[in-house]
Amino acid sequence: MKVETYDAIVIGAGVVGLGITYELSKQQGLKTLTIDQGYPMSGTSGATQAWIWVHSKTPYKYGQLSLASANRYQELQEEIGDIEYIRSGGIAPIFSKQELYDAKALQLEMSKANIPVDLLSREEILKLEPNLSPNLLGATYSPIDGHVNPFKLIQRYHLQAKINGAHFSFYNGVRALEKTEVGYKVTTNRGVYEAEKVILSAGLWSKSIGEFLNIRIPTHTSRGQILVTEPTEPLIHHVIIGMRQLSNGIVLMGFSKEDVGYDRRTTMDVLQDTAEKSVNLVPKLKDVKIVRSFSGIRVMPNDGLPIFGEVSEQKNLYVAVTHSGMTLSAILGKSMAELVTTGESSFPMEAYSIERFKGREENQ
Amino acid sequence: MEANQVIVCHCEELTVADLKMAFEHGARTFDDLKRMSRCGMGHCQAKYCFDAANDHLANWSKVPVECLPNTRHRMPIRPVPLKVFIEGGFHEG
Ligand SMILES: Cc1cc2nc3c(=O)[nH]c(=O)nc-3n(C[C@H](O)[C@H](O)[C@H](O)COP(=O)(O)OP(=O)(O)OC[C@H]3O[C@@H](n4cnc5c(N)ncnc54)[C@H](O)[C@@H]3O)c2cc1C
Ligand code: FES
Repeated sequence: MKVETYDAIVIGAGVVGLGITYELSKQQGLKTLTIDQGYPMSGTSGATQAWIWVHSKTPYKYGQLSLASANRYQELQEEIGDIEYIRSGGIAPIFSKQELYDAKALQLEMSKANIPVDLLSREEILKLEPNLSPNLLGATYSPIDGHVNPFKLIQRYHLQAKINGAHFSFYNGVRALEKTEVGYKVTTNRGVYEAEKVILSAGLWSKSIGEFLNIRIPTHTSRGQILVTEPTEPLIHHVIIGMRQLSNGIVLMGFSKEDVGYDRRTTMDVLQDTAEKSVNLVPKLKDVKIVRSFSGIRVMPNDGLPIFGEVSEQKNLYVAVTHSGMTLSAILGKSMAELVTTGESSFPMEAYSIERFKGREENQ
Repeated sequence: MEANQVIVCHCEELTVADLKMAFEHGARTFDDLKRMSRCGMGHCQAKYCFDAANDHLANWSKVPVECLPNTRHRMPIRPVPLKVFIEGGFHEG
Protein backbone atom coordinates (compact mmCIF):
# COMPACT_ATOMS: atom_id res chain seq x y z
CA MET A 1 0.00 0.00 0.00
CA LYS A 2 1.26 3.46 -0.92
CA VAL A 3 2.13 5.61 2.08
CA GLU A 4 1.36 9.32 1.89
CA THR A 5 3.68 11.64 3.78
CA TYR A 6 2.86 14.96 5.43
CA ASP A 7 4.56 17.38 7.80
CA ALA A 8 1.65 17.26 10.21
CA ILE A 9 -1.54 15.26 10.54
CA VAL A 10 -4.54 16.53 12.48
CA ILE A 11 -6.88 13.80 13.72
CA GLY A 12 -10.45 15.05 14.10
CA ALA A 13 -12.18 17.81 12.12
CA GLY A 14 -14.49 19.28 14.72
CA VAL A 15 -14.25 22.94 15.59
CA VAL A 16 -11.03 22.36 17.53
CA GLY A 17 -9.26 20.35 14.81
CA LEU A 18 -10.41 22.75 12.09
CA GLY A 19 -9.30 25.80 14.06
CA ILE A 20 -5.86 24.21 14.31
CA THR A 21 -5.89 23.19 10.64
CA TYR A 22 -6.78 26.71 9.56
CA GLU A 23 -3.97 28.29 11.57
CA LEU A 24 -1.46 25.69 10.34
CA SER A 25 -2.55 26.33 6.75
CA LYS A 26 -1.21 29.86 7.02
CA GLN A 27 2.34 28.46 7.34
CA GLN A 28 3.96 28.53 3.92
CA GLY A 29 5.25 25.17 2.81
CA LEU A 30 3.80 23.12 5.67
CA LYS A 31 1.99 20.12 4.24
CA THR A 32 -0.90 19.04 6.44
CA LEU A 33 -3.65 16.45 6.34
CA THR A 34 -6.77 16.57 8.47
CA ILE A 35 -8.60 13.28 8.89
CA ASP A 36 -12.10 12.65 10.19
CA GLN A 37 -14.05 9.43 10.55
CA GLY A 38 -17.15 11.36 9.55
CA TYR A 39 -17.86 14.82 8.30
CA PRO A 40 -16.83 18.05 10.10
CA MET A 41 -20.00 18.48 12.10
CA SER A 42 -20.75 14.85 12.87
CA GLY A 43 -19.20 15.08 16.34
CA THR A 44 -20.02 17.44 19.19
CA SER A 45 -19.46 20.53 17.06
CA GLY A 46 -22.67 19.81 15.14
CA ALA A 47 -24.83 19.75 18.28
CA THR A 48 -23.93 22.80 20.26
CA GLN A 49 -25.32 26.09 21.58
CA ALA A 50 -22.23 27.95 20.32
CA TRP A 51 -21.97 30.66 22.92
CA ILE A 52 -18.64 32.38 23.06
CA TRP A 53 -18.88 32.59 26.80
CA VAL A 54 -16.35 34.20 29.13
CA HIS A 55 -17.77 35.71 32.26
CA SER A 56 -18.20 32.70 34.51
CA LYS A 57 -15.08 30.80 33.42
CA THR A 58 -13.21 30.35 36.70
CA PRO A 59 -10.43 30.36 37.85
CA TYR A 60 -9.59 33.78 36.43
CA LYS A 61 -6.75 32.39 34.32
CA TYR A 62 -9.22 30.21 32.50
CA GLY A 63 -11.31 33.36 32.10
CA GLN A 64 -8.29 35.02 30.51
CA LEU A 65 -7.92 32.15 28.05
CA SER A 66 -11.60 32.42 27.11
CA LEU A 67 -11.27 36.17 26.72
CA ALA A 68 -8.21 35.78 24.48
CA SER A 69 -10.25 33.45 22.30
CA ALA A 70 -13.20 35.85 22.17
CA ASN A 71 -10.81 38.59 21.08
CA ARG A 72 -9.32 36.33 18.44
CA TYR A 73 -12.82 35.74 17.00
CA GLN A 74 -13.04 39.45 16.24
CA GLU A 75 -9.92 39.12 14.10
CA LEU A 76 -11.13 35.89 12.53
CA GLN A 77 -14.34 37.56 11.49
CA GLU A 78 -12.12 39.74 9.27
CA GLU A 79 -9.72 36.98 8.21
CA ILE A 80 -12.00 34.13 7.22
CA GLY A 81 -15.29 35.88 6.53
CA ASP A 82 -18.57 36.31 8.34
CA ILE A 83 -18.93 33.75 11.10
CA GLU A 84 -21.72 35.76 12.73
CA TYR A 85 -19.73 36.38 15.86
CA ILE A 86 -21.80 38.79 17.92
CA ARG A 87 -21.02 40.17 21.36
CA SER A 88 -24.56 40.29 22.59
CA GLY A 89 -23.56 40.35 26.24
CA GLY A 90 -24.25 37.46 28.59
CA ILE A 91 -26.52 37.09 31.59
CA ALA A 92 -26.37 34.53 34.39
CA PRO A 93 -29.65 34.73 36.32
CA ILE A 94 -29.68 34.59 40.11
CA PHE A 95 -32.61 32.92 41.84
CA SER A 96 -31.33 32.36 45.38
CA LYS A 97 -29.34 34.01 48.19
CA GLN A 98 -26.59 31.42 47.75
CA GLU A 99 -26.27 32.28 44.07
CA LEU A 100 -26.00 35.92 45.06
CA TYR A 101 -22.99 35.19 47.29
CA ASP A 102 -21.44 33.10 44.52
CA ALA A 103 -21.95 36.00 42.11
CA LYS A 104 -20.01 38.34 44.38
CA ALA A 105 -17.15 35.86 44.57
CA LEU A 106 -17.25 35.51 40.78
CA GLN A 107 -17.07 39.25 40.31
CA LEU A 108 -13.98 39.42 42.48
CA GLU A 109 -12.30 36.49 40.75
CA MET A 110 -12.93 37.90 37.27
CA SER A 111 -11.65 41.33 38.22
CA LYS A 112 -8.20 39.71 38.45
CA ALA A 113 -8.44 39.07 34.70
CA ASN A 114 -9.98 42.48 33.94
CA ILE A 115 -13.16 40.79 32.81
CA PRO A 116 -16.07 43.10 33.52
CA VAL A 117 -18.84 41.40 35.50
CA ASP A 118 -21.73 43.56 36.69
CA LEU A 119 -24.02 42.48 39.47
CA LEU A 120 -27.49 43.63 38.49
CA SER A 121 -30.55 44.03 40.70
CA ARG A 122 -33.94 42.68 39.66
CA GLU A 123 -34.97 46.10 38.35
CA GLU A 124 -31.78 46.49 36.36
CA ILE A 125 -31.96 43.06 34.80
CA LEU A 126 -35.63 43.48 33.90
CA LYS A 127 -34.78 46.73 32.21
CA LEU A 128 -32.17 44.93 30.13
CA GLU A 129 -34.39 41.93 29.42
CA PRO A 130 -38.06 42.78 30.10
CA ASN A 131 -39.26 39.25 29.30
CA LEU A 132 -37.30 37.62 32.10
CA SER A 133 -39.24 36.37 35.09
CA PRO A 134 -39.85 38.88 37.88
CA ASN A 135 -39.00 36.04 40.30
CA LEU A 136 -35.30 36.61 39.69
CA LEU A 137 -33.28 38.13 42.51
CA GLY A 138 -30.85 39.61 40.03
CA ALA A 139 -28.16 38.51 37.59
CA THR A 140 -24.54 38.84 36.64
CA TYR A 141 -23.93 40.50 33.30
CA SER A 142 -20.90 40.90 31.08
CA PRO A 143 -20.71 42.67 27.71
CA ILE A 144 -17.90 40.31 26.60
CA ASP A 145 -20.09 37.25 26.13
CA GLY A 146 -21.63 36.43 22.79
CA HIS A 147 -22.21 33.74 20.23
CA VAL A 148 -21.13 32.50 16.84
CA ASN A 149 -22.85 30.60 14.05
CA PRO A 150 -21.19 27.19 14.51
CA PHE A 151 -22.04 26.00 11.00
CA LYS A 152 -20.53 29.10 9.41
CA LEU A 153 -17.47 29.01 11.66
CA ILE A 154 -16.75 25.42 10.71
CA GLN A 155 -17.37 25.99 7.00
CA ARG A 156 -15.12 29.05 6.98
CA TYR A 157 -12.27 27.31 8.78
CA HIS A 158 -12.58 24.41 6.37
CA LEU A 159 -12.86 26.44 3.17
CA GLN A 160 -10.15 28.92 4.04
CA ALA A 161 -7.76 26.14 5.05
CA LYS A 162 -8.53 24.37 1.78
CA ILE A 163 -7.80 27.54 -0.20
CA ASN A 164 -4.51 27.84 1.69
CA GLY A 165 -3.57 24.33 0.60
CA ALA A 166 -4.52 22.09 3.55
CA HIS A 167 -5.46 18.51 2.64
CA PHE A 168 -8.55 16.78 4.03
CA SER A 169 -9.84 13.24 4.15
CA PHE A 170 -13.38 12.66 5.42
CA TYR A 171 -15.22 9.41 6.09
CA ASN A 172 -11.84 7.98 6.93
CA GLY A 173 -11.51 6.68 10.50
CA VAL A 174 -8.16 6.31 12.23
CA ARG A 175 -7.66 2.66 13.18
CA ALA A 176 -4.10 2.74 14.54
CA LEU A 177 -1.43 5.21 15.55
CA GLU A 178 2.19 4.13 15.90
CA LYS A 179 5.52 5.73 16.50
CA THR A 180 8.13 5.50 13.72
CA GLU A 181 11.72 6.64 13.45
CA VAL A 182 10.80 9.97 11.95
CA GLY A 183 7.43 10.58 13.56
CA TYR A 184 4.13 8.76 13.44
CA LYS A 185 2.25 6.35 11.25
CA VAL A 186 -1.51 6.78 11.04
CA THR A 187 -3.48 3.85 9.70
CA THR A 188 -7.05 4.51 8.59
CA ASN A 189 -9.67 2.41 6.88
CA ARG A 190 -8.62 3.90 3.55
CA GLY A 191 -4.85 4.12 3.77
CA VAL A 192 -1.60 4.68 5.63
CA TYR A 193 -0.17 8.13 6.26
CA GLU A 194 3.07 9.27 7.86
CA ALA A 195 3.99 12.57 9.42
CA GLU A 196 6.62 14.03 11.66
CA LYS A 197 3.96 15.59 13.87
CA VAL A 198 0.49 14.50 14.88
CA ILE A 199 -2.16 16.59 16.56
CA LEU A 200 -4.90 14.72 18.33
CA SER A 201 -8.12 16.74 18.38
CA ALA A 202 -10.77 14.07 18.11
CA GLY A 203 -12.99 15.36 20.93
CA LEU A 204 -14.67 12.52 22.79
CA TRP A 205 -12.74 9.92 20.87
CA SER A 206 -9.29 11.30 21.64
CA LYS A 207 -9.12 9.15 24.74
CA SER A 208 -9.33 5.88 22.79
CA ILE A 209 -6.97 7.08 20.04
CA GLY A 210 -4.45 8.10 22.73
CA GLU A 211 -4.48 4.51 23.96
CA PHE A 212 -2.69 3.38 20.79
CA LEU A 213 0.39 5.10 22.24
CA ASN A 214 -0.41 4.41 25.90
CA ILE A 215 -1.36 8.01 26.55
CA ARG A 216 -4.07 8.50 29.11
CA ILE A 217 -6.36 11.40 28.36
CA PRO A 218 -8.51 11.70 31.48
CA THR A 219 -11.94 12.76 30.22
CA HIS A 220 -15.54 11.79 30.75
CA THR A 221 -18.72 12.52 28.82
CA SER A 222 -21.61 14.86 29.50
CA ARG A 223 -24.77 14.79 27.41
CA GLY A 224 -26.66 17.99 26.77
CA GLN A 225 -30.22 18.00 25.43
CA ILE A 226 -31.57 21.03 23.64
CA LEU A 227 -35.09 22.15 22.74
CA VAL A 228 -35.59 24.26 19.63
CA THR A 229 -38.61 26.51 19.10
CA GLU A 230 -40.27 27.82 15.97
CA PRO A 231 -39.19 31.33 14.95
CA THR A 232 -40.93 33.74 17.28
CA GLU A 233 -40.99 37.45 18.22
CA PRO A 234 -37.78 38.76 19.76
CA LEU A 235 -37.98 37.63 23.39
CA ILE A 236 -34.40 37.87 24.62
CA HIS A 237 -31.48 39.91 23.36
CA HIS A 238 -28.52 38.46 25.24
CA VAL A 239 -27.16 35.01 25.81
CA ILE A 240 -28.81 33.95 29.04
CA ILE A 241 -27.42 30.90 30.83
CA GLY A 242 -29.41 28.06 29.29
CA MET A 243 -30.80 29.86 26.27
CA ARG A 244 -30.30 32.13 23.33
CA GLN A 245 -32.44 33.39 20.48
CA LEU A 246 -31.01 33.20 16.98
CA SER A 247 -31.35 36.04 14.49
CA ASN A 248 -34.12 34.12 12.68
CA GLY A 249 -36.22 34.10 15.86
CA ILE A 250 -35.58 30.50 16.91
CA VAL A 251 -34.87 29.96 20.62
CA LEU A 252 -32.41 27.24 21.73
CA MET A 253 -32.83 26.04 25.31
CA GLY A 254 -30.75 23.59 27.29
CA PHE A 255 -29.66 23.16 30.89
CA SER A 256 -28.88 19.46 31.17
CA LYS A 257 -25.67 17.60 31.91
CA GLU A 258 -25.75 13.81 32.12
CA ASP A 259 -22.88 11.36 32.09
CA VAL A 260 -24.38 8.65 29.89
CA GLY A 261 -21.40 7.72 27.74
CA TYR A 262 -21.86 8.00 23.99
CA ASP A 263 -25.67 7.75 24.06
CA ARG A 264 -26.99 10.59 21.90
CA ARG A 265 -30.71 9.99 22.40
CA THR A 266 -33.08 12.66 23.64
CA THR A 267 -35.29 11.70 26.58
CA MET A 268 -38.70 12.99 27.60
CA ASP A 269 -37.90 13.61 31.29
CA VAL A 270 -34.98 15.90 30.51
CA LEU A 271 -36.86 17.74 27.77
CA GLN A 272 -39.79 18.34 30.13
CA ASP A 273 -37.44 19.68 32.73
CA THR A 274 -35.80 21.89 30.10
CA ALA A 275 -39.21 23.28 29.10
CA GLU A 276 -40.05 23.99 32.73
CA LYS A 277 -36.78 25.77 33.46
CA SER A 278 -37.16 27.82 30.29
CA VAL A 279 -40.67 28.95 31.15
CA ASN A 280 -39.55 29.80 34.69
CA LEU A 281 -36.89 32.01 33.17
CA VAL A 282 -38.92 33.54 30.33
CA PRO A 283 -42.64 33.06 31.09
CA LYS A 284 -43.75 34.10 27.59
CA LEU A 285 -42.10 31.00 26.16
CA LYS A 286 -44.98 28.88 27.46
CA ASP A 287 -47.03 29.51 24.30
CA VAL A 288 -44.15 29.23 21.85
CA LYS A 289 -44.02 25.96 19.91
CA ILE A 290 -41.18 23.47 20.11
CA VAL A 291 -40.33 22.11 16.66
CA ARG A 292 -37.29 20.02 17.38
CA SER A 293 -34.91 18.66 19.99
CA PHE A 294 -31.36 17.45 19.75
CA SER A 295 -28.61 16.20 21.95
CA GLY A 296 -24.84 16.29 21.91
CA ILE A 297 -22.13 14.76 24.02
CA ARG A 298 -19.56 17.06 25.53
CA VAL A 299 -16.14 15.77 26.33
CA MET A 300 -15.12 16.88 29.81
CA PRO A 301 -11.53 16.80 31.00
CA ASN A 302 -11.70 15.39 34.53
CA ASP A 303 -10.61 18.63 36.17
CA GLY A 304 -12.71 20.78 33.85
CA LEU A 305 -9.83 22.56 32.16
CA PRO A 306 -8.56 22.15 28.58
CA ILE A 307 -5.90 19.55 27.87
CA PHE A 308 -3.49 21.13 25.48
CA GLY A 309 0.08 20.83 24.22
CA GLU A 310 2.85 18.38 23.46
CA VAL A 311 2.94 15.07 25.29
CA SER A 312 6.29 14.77 27.05
CA GLU A 313 6.84 11.03 26.46
CA GLN A 314 5.86 11.30 22.81
CA LYS A 315 7.78 14.01 21.10
CA ASN A 316 5.88 15.76 18.31
CA LEU A 317 2.56 14.39 19.47
CA TYR A 318 0.18 17.15 20.53
CA VAL A 319 -3.28 17.01 22.08
CA ALA A 320 -6.13 19.52 22.12
CA VAL A 321 -9.11 18.19 24.01
CA THR A 322 -11.54 20.46 25.78
CA HIS A 323 -15.09 21.28 26.63
CA SER A 324 -16.32 24.74 25.51
CA GLY A 325 -14.55 24.11 22.24
CA MET A 326 -16.67 26.71 20.46
CA THR A 327 -15.46 29.41 22.83
CA LEU A 328 -11.88 28.20 22.74
CA SER A 329 -11.20 27.05 19.16
CA ALA A 330 -9.77 30.43 18.11
CA ILE A 331 -7.09 30.60 20.80
CA LEU A 332 -6.39 26.87 20.75
CA GLY A 333 -5.89 26.97 16.98
CA LYS A 334 -3.55 29.91 17.13
CA SER A 335 -1.56 28.55 20.08
CA MET A 336 -1.26 25.09 18.55
CA ALA A 337 0.06 26.43 15.24
CA GLU A 338 2.65 28.48 17.12
CA LEU A 339 3.62 25.55 19.30
CA VAL A 340 3.94 23.14 16.38
CA THR A 341 5.98 25.51 14.24
CA THR A 342 8.11 27.38 16.81
CA GLY A 343 7.95 25.33 20.01
CA GLU A 344 6.30 28.15 21.95
CA SER A 345 2.93 29.89 22.07
CA SER A 346 2.41 33.61 22.63
CA PHE A 347 -0.42 33.00 25.11
CA PRO A 348 0.87 31.01 28.14
CA MET A 349 -0.54 27.49 27.81
CA GLU A 350 1.70 25.55 30.24
CA ALA A 351 -1.06 25.23 32.84
CA TYR A 352 -3.10 23.13 30.39
CA SER A 353 -0.45 20.49 29.75
CA ILE A 354 -1.55 16.86 30.07
CA GLU A 355 1.40 16.41 32.42
CA ARG A 356 -0.66 17.92 35.24
CA PHE A 357 -2.58 14.66 35.61
CA LYS A 358 0.52 12.65 36.47
CA GLY A 359 0.06 10.92 39.78
CA ARG A 360 -3.40 12.38 40.21
CA GLU A 361 -6.32 10.22 41.16
CA GLU A 362 -8.39 11.20 38.10
CA ASN A 363 -5.81 9.46 36.02
CA GLN A 364 -6.62 6.02 37.39
CA MET B 1 -35.69 27.68 -15.13
CA GLU B 2 -32.38 25.93 -14.88
CA ALA B 3 -32.53 22.47 -13.37
CA ASN B 4 -30.09 23.32 -10.62
CA GLN B 5 -32.23 26.26 -9.48
CA VAL B 6 -35.10 23.94 -8.58
CA ILE B 7 -35.93 24.23 -4.89
CA VAL B 8 -35.44 21.03 -2.90
CA CYS B 9 -36.01 22.26 0.64
CA HIS B 10 -38.91 24.68 0.59
CA CYS B 11 -38.83 25.61 4.25
CA GLU B 12 -35.22 26.77 4.03
CA GLU B 13 -35.37 27.77 0.34
CA LEU B 14 -32.46 25.64 -0.80
CA THR B 15 -31.90 24.77 -4.43
CA VAL B 16 -30.27 21.76 -6.07
CA ALA B 17 -27.22 24.00 -6.61
CA ASP B 18 -27.01 24.78 -2.88
CA LEU B 19 -27.04 21.09 -2.03
CA LYS B 20 -24.57 20.28 -4.81
CA MET B 21 -22.16 22.74 -3.27
CA ALA B 22 -22.42 21.00 0.11
CA PHE B 23 -21.83 17.68 -1.66
CA GLU B 24 -18.74 19.08 -3.33
CA HIS B 25 -17.39 20.03 0.07
CA GLY B 26 -17.69 16.43 1.19
CA ALA B 27 -21.24 16.03 2.52
CA ARG B 28 -22.39 12.44 1.90
CA THR B 29 -25.47 11.93 4.07
CA PHE B 30 -28.66 13.85 4.70
CA ASP B 31 -27.41 14.85 8.15
CA ASP B 32 -24.22 16.27 6.58
CA LEU B 33 -26.36 18.36 4.21
CA LYS B 34 -28.44 19.45 7.16
CA ARG B 35 -25.46 20.72 9.11
CA MET B 36 -23.89 22.35 6.10
CA SER B 37 -26.93 24.03 4.57
CA ARG B 38 -29.86 23.79 7.03
CA CYS B 39 -31.66 21.51 4.56
CA GLY B 40 -34.30 19.69 6.58
CA MET B 41 -34.20 22.04 9.55
CA GLY B 42 -37.24 24.09 8.57
CA HIS B 43 -40.75 24.03 9.88
CA CYS B 44 -41.65 20.68 8.35
CA GLN B 45 -38.48 19.09 9.77
CA ALA B 46 -37.48 17.34 6.55
CA LYS B 47 -40.84 15.69 5.97
CA TYR B 48 -40.99 17.32 2.56
CA CYS B 49 -37.37 17.46 1.40
CA PHE B 50 -35.83 14.27 2.80
CA ASP B 51 -36.56 11.97 -0.15
CA ALA B 52 -35.71 14.50 -2.82
CA ALA B 53 -32.43 15.48 -1.19
CA ASN B 54 -31.48 11.84 -0.71
CA ASP B 55 -32.20 11.09 -4.39
CA HIS B 56 -29.75 13.82 -5.36
CA LEU B 57 -27.13 12.56 -2.92
CA ALA B 58 -27.50 9.01 -4.22
CA ASN B 59 -27.16 10.21 -7.78
CA TRP B 60 -24.07 12.35 -7.16
CA SER B 61 -22.25 9.83 -5.00
CA LYS B 62 -23.39 6.83 -7.09
CA VAL B 63 -24.58 5.02 -3.99
CA PRO B 64 -27.99 3.30 -4.12
CA VAL B 65 -30.49 5.44 -2.23
CA GLU B 66 -31.43 2.49 0.03
CA CYS B 67 -27.85 2.43 1.30
CA LEU B 68 -27.93 6.02 2.56
CA PRO B 69 -28.50 6.40 6.30
CA ASN B 70 -31.83 7.75 7.55
CA THR B 71 -31.94 11.05 9.36
CA ARG B 72 -32.57 10.96 13.08
CA HIS B 73 -36.13 11.86 13.96
CA ARG B 74 -36.59 13.40 17.37
CA MET B 75 -39.33 14.66 19.60
CA PRO B 76 -41.74 16.31 19.05
CA ILE B 77 -43.36 14.79 15.96
CA ARG B 78 -45.56 17.82 15.55
CA PRO B 79 -44.78 21.31 16.95
CA VAL B 80 -46.27 21.77 20.44
CA PRO B 81 -46.15 24.75 22.82
CA LEU B 82 -43.70 24.52 25.71
CA LYS B 83 -46.50 24.45 28.27
CA VAL B 84 -47.71 21.14 26.84
CA PHE B 85 -44.24 19.71 27.43
CA ILE B 86 -44.12 20.55 31.10
CA GLU B 87 -44.92 17.60 33.29
CA GLY B 88 -48.32 17.82 34.96
CA GLY B 89 -49.32 20.62 32.61
CA PHE B 90 -48.75 24.31 32.97
CA HIS B 91 -50.58 26.16 35.71
CA GLU B 92 -51.38 29.81 35.21
CA GLY B 93 -50.44 32.20 38.01
C1 LIG C 1 -25.57 20.55 24.01
C2 LIG C 1 -24.22 21.19 23.95
C3 LIG C 1 -24.09 22.57 24.06
C4 LIG C 1 -22.83 23.17 23.99
N1 LIG C 1 -22.74 24.52 24.06
C5 LIG C 1 -21.53 25.12 23.95
C6 LIG C 1 -21.43 26.53 23.97
O1 LIG C 1 -22.44 27.23 24.06
N2 LIG C 1 -20.19 27.10 23.89
C7 LIG C 1 -19.05 26.34 23.78
O2 LIG C 1 -17.97 26.91 23.72
N3 LIG C 1 -19.13 24.99 23.74
C8 LIG C 1 -20.34 24.38 23.83
N4 LIG C 1 -20.42 23.02 23.80
C9 LIG C 1 -19.19 22.25 23.69
C10 LIG C 1 -18.63 22.30 22.26
O3 LIG C 1 -19.66 22.04 21.32
C11 LIG C 1 -17.53 21.27 22.14
O4 LIG C 1 -16.55 21.54 23.12
C12 LIG C 1 -16.87 21.28 20.77
O5 LIG C 1 -17.82 21.12 19.73
C13 LIG C 1 -15.83 20.20 20.71
O6 LIG C 1 -15.20 20.23 19.47
P1 LIG C 1 -14.13 19.16 19.10
O7 LIG C 1 -13.57 19.57 17.80
O8 LIG C 1 -13.19 18.96 20.23
O9 LIG C 1 -14.95 17.79 19.01
P2 LIG C 1 -15.87 17.19 17.85
O10 LIG C 1 -16.69 18.20 17.16
O11 LIG C 1 -16.59 16.04 18.45
O12 LIG C 1 -14.81 16.70 16.79
C14 LIG C 1 -14.08 15.52 16.91
C15 LIG C 1 -14.02 14.87 15.55
O13 LIG C 1 -13.16 13.73 15.62
C16 LIG C 1 -13.65 12.77 14.73
N5 LIG C 1 -13.13 11.45 15.09
C17 LIG C 1 -13.45 10.69 16.17
N6 LIG C 1 -12.81 9.53 16.16
C18 LIG C 1 -12.05 9.52 15.03
C19 LIG C 1 -11.17 8.57 14.44
N7 LIG C 1 -10.91 7.38 15.01
N8 LIG C 1 -10.59 8.90 13.27
C20 LIG C 1 -10.83 10.10 12.67
N9 LIG C 1 -11.66 11.02 13.19
C21 LIG C 1 -12.26 10.75 14.36
C22 LIG C 1 -15.16 12.88 14.88
O14 LIG C 1 -15.84 12.37 13.74
C23 LIG C 1 -15.37 14.38 15.07
O15 LIG C 1 -15.73 15.05 13.87
C24 LIG C 1 -21.67 22.38 23.85
C25 LIG C 1 -21.80 21.00 23.74
C26 LIG C 1 -23.05 20.40 23.78
C27 LIG C 1 -23.15 18.93 23.65
S1 FES D 1 -38.73 21.30 3.13
FE1 FES D 1 -36.84 21.03 4.07
S2 FES D 1 -37.31 21.35 6.15
FE2 FES D 1 -39.19 21.58 5.22
